Amino acid sequence: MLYSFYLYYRHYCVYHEAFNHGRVAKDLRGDQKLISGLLFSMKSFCQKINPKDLGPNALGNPFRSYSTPEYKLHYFESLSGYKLLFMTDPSVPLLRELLSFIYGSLVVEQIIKNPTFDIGERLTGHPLAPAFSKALNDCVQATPFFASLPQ
Amino acid sequence: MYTLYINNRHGSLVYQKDFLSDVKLTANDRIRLASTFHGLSAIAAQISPVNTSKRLPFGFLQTTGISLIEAEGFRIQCFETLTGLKFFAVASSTFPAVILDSFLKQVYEVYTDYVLKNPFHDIDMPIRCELFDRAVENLFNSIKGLG
Repeated sequence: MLYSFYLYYRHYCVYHEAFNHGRVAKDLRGDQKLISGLLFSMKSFCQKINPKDLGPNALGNPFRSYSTPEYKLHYFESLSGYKLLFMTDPSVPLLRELLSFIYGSLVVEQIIKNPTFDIGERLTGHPLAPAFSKALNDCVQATPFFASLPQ
Repeated sequence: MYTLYINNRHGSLVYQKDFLSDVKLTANDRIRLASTFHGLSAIAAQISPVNTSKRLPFGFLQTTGISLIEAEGFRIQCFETLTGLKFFAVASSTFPAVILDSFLKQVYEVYTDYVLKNPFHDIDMPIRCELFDRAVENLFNSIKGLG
């Protein structure tokens, strides 16, 4: 079961979409800030606790996903600072390929390459948002776990 | 498998053991990492997109913190007890999840046997107990070949 999708640029959320009538967030802004903080600490936590020392010049973020008994968060970070994440039920396997596909062929192709869009601009409310939302929905609805019942 | 950590219910580190000598972290780093994990776990429970477990009968018995972190090359598996203790271990990503899970539960078992029944141990204080040390070591040796 897929619950929601978030797109972050650096530390703020530029786009959010909920699927399958997940919990209606009482305070979406607050939640988005919590997630951004969580991802930030998760990155330094994972870099620090990593048993294989990658050295101070290690590039990128080792964090991939975490799960709790209630849900699982899948994470993909591009080097340009865009972060994509999915929240699903815990039984879904790692969705890294799907996230990297969405980044490569939807976010980059449709949004970032568009001359009317400035890097870092909020996508929610932007004229490009409806087309992106449709493409995103087409993409995720084709996956087998989209509406599968949580175990 | 690299390291085992035990957090008390307030999020401070009470026990930590390295199984391989190539982990290079200072004592301060470990205390900080353990508390960070506690905080991450608490926030993760708050931003949950579902709130099913609270509605179920006995739903309050369901823990809501992080149970697994997957990262490049390693992962962290956590077993949270109903009393709020967190047993978590850092292992390589190829280590079988089932074995790690049962290892954490067995550590809880020896914790109840050798730490809680120790009259000189204060609850929520760091664990200094040779019998527990040895029991954990034995547990690790019994699963070492499987990883």
